[in-house]
Amino acid sequence: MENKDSSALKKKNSKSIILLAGFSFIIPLLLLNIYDSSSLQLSISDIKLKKMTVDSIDPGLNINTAVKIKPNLLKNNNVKVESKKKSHNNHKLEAKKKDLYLAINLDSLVYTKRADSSGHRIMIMGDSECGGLFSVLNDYCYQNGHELVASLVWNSATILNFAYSDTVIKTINKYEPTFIFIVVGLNEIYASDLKKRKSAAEILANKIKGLPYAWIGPANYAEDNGINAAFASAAEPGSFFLSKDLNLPKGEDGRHPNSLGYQIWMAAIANWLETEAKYHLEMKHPAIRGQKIRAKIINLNAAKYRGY
Amino acid sequence: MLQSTVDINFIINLFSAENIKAAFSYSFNEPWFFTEFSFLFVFGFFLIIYSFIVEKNKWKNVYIILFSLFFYYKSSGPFLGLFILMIISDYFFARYIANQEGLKKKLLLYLSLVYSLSFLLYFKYSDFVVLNLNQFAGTHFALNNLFLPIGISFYTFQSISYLVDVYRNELAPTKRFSDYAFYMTFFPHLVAGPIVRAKDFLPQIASPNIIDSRLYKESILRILMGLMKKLFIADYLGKYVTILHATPNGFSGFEHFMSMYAYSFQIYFDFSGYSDIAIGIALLLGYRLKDNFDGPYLASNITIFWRKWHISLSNWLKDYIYIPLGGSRHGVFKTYLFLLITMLIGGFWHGADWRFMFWGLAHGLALVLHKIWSTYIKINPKNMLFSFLGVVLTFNFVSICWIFFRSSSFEIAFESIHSIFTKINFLEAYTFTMARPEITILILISMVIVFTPFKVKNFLIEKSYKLPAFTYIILITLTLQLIIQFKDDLIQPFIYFQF
Repeated sequence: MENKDSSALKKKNSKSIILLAGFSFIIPLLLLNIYDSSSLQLSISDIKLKKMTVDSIDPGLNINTAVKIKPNLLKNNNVKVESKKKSHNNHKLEAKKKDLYLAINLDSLVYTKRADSSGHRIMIMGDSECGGLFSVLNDYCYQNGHELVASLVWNSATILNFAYSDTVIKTINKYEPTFIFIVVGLNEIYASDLKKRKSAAEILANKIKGLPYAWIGPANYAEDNGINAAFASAAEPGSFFLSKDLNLPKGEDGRHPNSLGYQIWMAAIANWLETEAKYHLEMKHPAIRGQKIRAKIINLNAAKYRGY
Repeated sequence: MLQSTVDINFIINLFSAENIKAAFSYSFNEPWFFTEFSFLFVFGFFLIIYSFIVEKNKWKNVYIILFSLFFYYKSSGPFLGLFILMIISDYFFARYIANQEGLKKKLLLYLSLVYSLSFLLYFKYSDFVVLNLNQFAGTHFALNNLFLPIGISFYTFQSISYLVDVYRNELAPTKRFSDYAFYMTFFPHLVAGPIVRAKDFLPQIASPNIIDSRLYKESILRILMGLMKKLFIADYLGKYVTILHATPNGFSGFEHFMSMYAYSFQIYFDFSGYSDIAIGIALLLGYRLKDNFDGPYLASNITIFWRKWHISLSNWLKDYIYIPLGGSRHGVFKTYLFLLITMLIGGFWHGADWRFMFWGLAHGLALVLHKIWSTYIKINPKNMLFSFLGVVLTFNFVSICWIFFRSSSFEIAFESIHSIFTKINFLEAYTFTMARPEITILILISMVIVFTPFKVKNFLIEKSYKLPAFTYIILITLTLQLIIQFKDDLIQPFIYFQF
């Protein structure tokens, strides 16, 4: 039966077509590779033909945020004015309650110490909580003359990913920040191998040694097994911010803060940076929120990209 | 001119020992997808060797199996072992099931299903269970943070369909292990479907399609369309959607509205693009996989949508869950109940998260409502106005549901929907097009592609077949350059790889 089929195929299958198919992939890719390795720069009209080699740090979900983001209407200085207006539905009431709550929380934070007034190139990296914080941090950067240059959001990541991969170093080398925020720990609050995590935290601390940084502990809603203590001992004294005792409104998933929670969290961090942190940073609360994000956002997922 | 500027070491470096070693090794950082240029390059060499053995069926099958295993190794590394173990055990399970009768046969089937599903349940759902236990029962179990083996959801379903078909005597178990291994490992459908049924595919192993000029052109066009859909449209739209979902409160209602459509097109072009590449590659080898999409956004109601969207999964759910549950054989109420259960399972299959369950439930309820509606109200399907309204309604319902699919939490999803329904200002359309011209153009291109009638598409495709075969090399070069020109950084993983 098989021989019969084979003989039938022998008559009709076109070997030359399959060969052509093979070369249909090889020739274009070779040509593009040759162009890539050459010093030629071809262009059509004024449009330069790009080359294959891409200037990127890691595989994953890289996104370019050089697009305009409409500024959010949520301005702290508008809260009182808005709260006077009549509201016709519950959603609007809820939104105003949130704004007022935020305003009260921000007002209660008192600045007691002047901070470093120079504008910094800021990079933030961390797990999913970093993904919630970076846009709020972006507003603080605008307010205080800093520039948020990169945000490395590594979803589901733990300290092991940041310590044992070369992603952190590559990102630092590429974006040359002068101040770093680290937000990691949510995915390991119940970790029991604290020795291993502590040594990983020390590796990460060594990697960024020489650069001023703020190491932000996870905003966990349950008591951890000691991960905060492990990170605090690895970080330079005065550079670790304990977040776990903050009372932050929860998101729907029960694990992360909601958008208001992230704003309150950032406000507390800002206060700490201006008053108590080893590496001081000018961090006045932003008058305008939802500023355009110019930073490079590198979005990775530890489930797909472990990094080491 | 060219010689003087080309680095001649490039050719030497390309085939250096280091590069060859890397080509045969698994890299966690660079798993193989169809969209990786390195894959397409190796696939070219694979085809050249294939051309010499295509007439020797036995060797050809062994060659494809080996390449498929290599492909899976390049995609998933050590999980290849798990995959092979599953293939071997299911092959023997099927043979034992076929040889038994009565209760013993049924027990063997259940045992084999539990065994096959256990891998999927462990890797995909154990953290979900732990997370919910911690949240609702106050326990403190550590999360395993397991890596989901690529394609496990797809090949588990394939293996289940094979076992059940053998149990139902709809299919005789393969005599040769190599035939079953070929069916399971065939790399075009291996990691993200289409979910191929053994009874459709096994006959092709013995008598594949004849590879001729027409088939070559059809395959290449399918692959190029898939690459363009994925790399040119889906990835670009994806960037915008990702930005919006990262900071949902920083965007206006109109931005959320556009993001909803952007994601509807992104997920369609991402997955149908993948399916096109898979079908094209399989076709180049002489094997025809069934279409996975049939213009789903042209569906005039939700029932038709599910006949056109991810067809292989819809059919699988119908044949192996809905009908075994009872289908429509036990009265109206139970029919609706079974439909809801099927869609809930379908939702959960997509991901271990309540959001996916909710998404499945929403679609299930819509299907039930449509069934009730069509029982009492008869509409002439040829009525253009009702058909148009049906398409608009169905597309918008599906798009709103996609928000739950895309958002990282219920909170963000509801925030987005709330913005769309309460904060939208259509006067922003002009500023939107000014601020985001690329996204506007891509959404318009997407709409044209999605809503263009099949007749027009087929006419254009038929015209392309008239081009001489060698011109397809130029077409491929131009397409790849176009992709390089517009893509940003590295290629994003296919959305359906995570399922």
